[in-house]
Amino acid sequence: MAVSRTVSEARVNKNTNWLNAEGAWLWYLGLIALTWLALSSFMDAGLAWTYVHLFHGAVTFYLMHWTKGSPIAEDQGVWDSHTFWEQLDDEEQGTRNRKFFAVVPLVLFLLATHGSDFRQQPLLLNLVVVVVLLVAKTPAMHGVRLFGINKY
Amino acid sequence: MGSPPRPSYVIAISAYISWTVWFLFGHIRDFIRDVFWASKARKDYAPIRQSYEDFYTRRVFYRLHDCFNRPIASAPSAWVDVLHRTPVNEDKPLELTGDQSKVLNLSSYNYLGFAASDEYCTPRVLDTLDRLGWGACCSRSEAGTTDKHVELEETVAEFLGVEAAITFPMGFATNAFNIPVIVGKGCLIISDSLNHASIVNGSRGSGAKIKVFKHDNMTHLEQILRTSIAEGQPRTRRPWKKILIIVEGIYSMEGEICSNLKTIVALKKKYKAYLFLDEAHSIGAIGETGRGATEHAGVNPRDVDVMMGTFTKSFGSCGGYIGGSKQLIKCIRNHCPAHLHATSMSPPAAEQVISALRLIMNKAGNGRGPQKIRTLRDNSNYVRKRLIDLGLEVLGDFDSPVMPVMIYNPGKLALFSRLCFRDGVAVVMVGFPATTLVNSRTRLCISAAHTKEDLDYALEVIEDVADQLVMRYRPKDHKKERKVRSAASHMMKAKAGG
Repeated sequence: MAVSRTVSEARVNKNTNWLNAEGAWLWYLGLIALTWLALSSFMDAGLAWTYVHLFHGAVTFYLMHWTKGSPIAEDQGVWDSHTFWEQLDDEEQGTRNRKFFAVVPLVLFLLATHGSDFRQQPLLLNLVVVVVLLVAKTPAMHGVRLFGINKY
Repeated sequence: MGSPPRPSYVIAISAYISWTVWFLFGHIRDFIRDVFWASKARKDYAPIRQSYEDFYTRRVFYRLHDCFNRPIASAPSAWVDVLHRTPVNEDKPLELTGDQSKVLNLSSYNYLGFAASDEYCTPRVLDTLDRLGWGACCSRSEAGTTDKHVELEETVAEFLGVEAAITFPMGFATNAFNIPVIVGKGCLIISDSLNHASIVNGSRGSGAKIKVFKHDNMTHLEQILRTSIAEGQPRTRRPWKKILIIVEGIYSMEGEICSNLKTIVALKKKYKAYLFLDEAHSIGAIGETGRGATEHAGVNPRDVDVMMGTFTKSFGSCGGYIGGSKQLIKCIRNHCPAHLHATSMSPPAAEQVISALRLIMNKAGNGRGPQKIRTLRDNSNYVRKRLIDLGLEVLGDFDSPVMPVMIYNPGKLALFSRLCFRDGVAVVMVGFPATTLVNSRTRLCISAAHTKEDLDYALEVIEDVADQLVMRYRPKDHKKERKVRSAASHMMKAKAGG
């Protein structure tokens, strides 16, 4: 039996532990791919990545870093002040889920910037979105509410 | 080792599609509500419910709430009269239409068939009703203890094979109020990840530190025990005052019997922890003589420090009990608020349990009680085998009267319930958050009161509905097929000390 300093716990937060199940990551990537396909049907495929990146940034920022609380009534509000990102994996940092969700906006940024010529895309906007998302996901920002925005 | 049900990728993706559509439409409707219908909240008051907390109830549950809370008009025995209601209309309450239908009852916890009138129990219950009345009208510590309550506790202790027992009027409250009496701040609770809400409730209310071990995983349990004892309490590193391991006899969402009870008892003796066994579903339902999980696993009941159970499932009554050493029961009697302040159990309900126990222990009824146990086991194994042959993915072990059948896709859940009801079978379906997002299922509860004709009819209806809903998820590849534990192989393992 391997000796480990901290014991891995069984994840019990029903709001977030569905991400550990089969097909959850695949579904997430599938949604992104579907959005890109839908957008490329009427615009340049490379430029479509920019819009996928921006749309993905807006949606994931809202769902993961803005909305607080949990729809699970039996938790009786223990997670009411935590965003989805903060609730993930029982607040443990550096887990597989967190790494995956941090890599996705970065990869989308790379696809967006390389997808079309620098003059045709809103490069600054792409950069701001990816920086905001990545900073929001760092452990240092756990529980931090800048300027008291979204505190309650 | 029981593994959690794993749908194939295709099924999982289809379930996620359902959830995404639901989620999306829910948010769109919320948005329209917030923009177009001005909030009726009182000015300057904080809202009673945060809107996200309520989201699941408003936007998901209310779409299928006609499948829950169906009112019944007869005792819930093998067949039950169910009242019809108007169809779903957003979140408006459903009205009774005045019609009713008699349907086969696969949803009630009626394992030994005591839910209906019984020729031995019912006359005795009516006698007690005449003599002692309906309500005790007082708490146990004041004037609410009658001779029936004393007799009940003695009978329960005798049945379980423990030194003493104490009973409570509510099963959920038994866990919720006794765990805080047994453990407190500075103690450690190691609880199975699939434990019931009452245990979670009691554990949170106790103030003890809670650690959860992966369901039925003895390696993880031992790892947690070793690490916790070595590290001590968080921050202060002081030794734990008490360590309590909490497991259940039958996990009703999985239909699994806790077959590793022998290992858990060995672990608890090795690391000097205490064991709390919640036998809500297993008492009266498994074991040769109905003594529950301890008999099934071959464990001495004196080795389990706290034996908890309920009277709701197998005995056709209500309430719960705790069995253990005389010291433990005396402590609970003096400290538990459910005993000191809650109204005591209704005397006829107590008499129902006493009569049912006497039947099961074969002190009356000429062997009818043990026959019920055998019938239950035969019915359960028969239905389980037939469902497996139908190609449905059934969870749990043989001998367990609870059989969850996987549906996975939440969109099919409501349909399964409605179609079965239309065809004359009442079933219960379970979805998120009682299960994980993709593991929605229906849970069938078999009873000793079901005849073979009833079960064949139920299987016919289920096969028909399963065809319509494309539910035959049982993996056909024998290499991927999860090992279905048969009673024989289990007994051999138990004999070998597994």
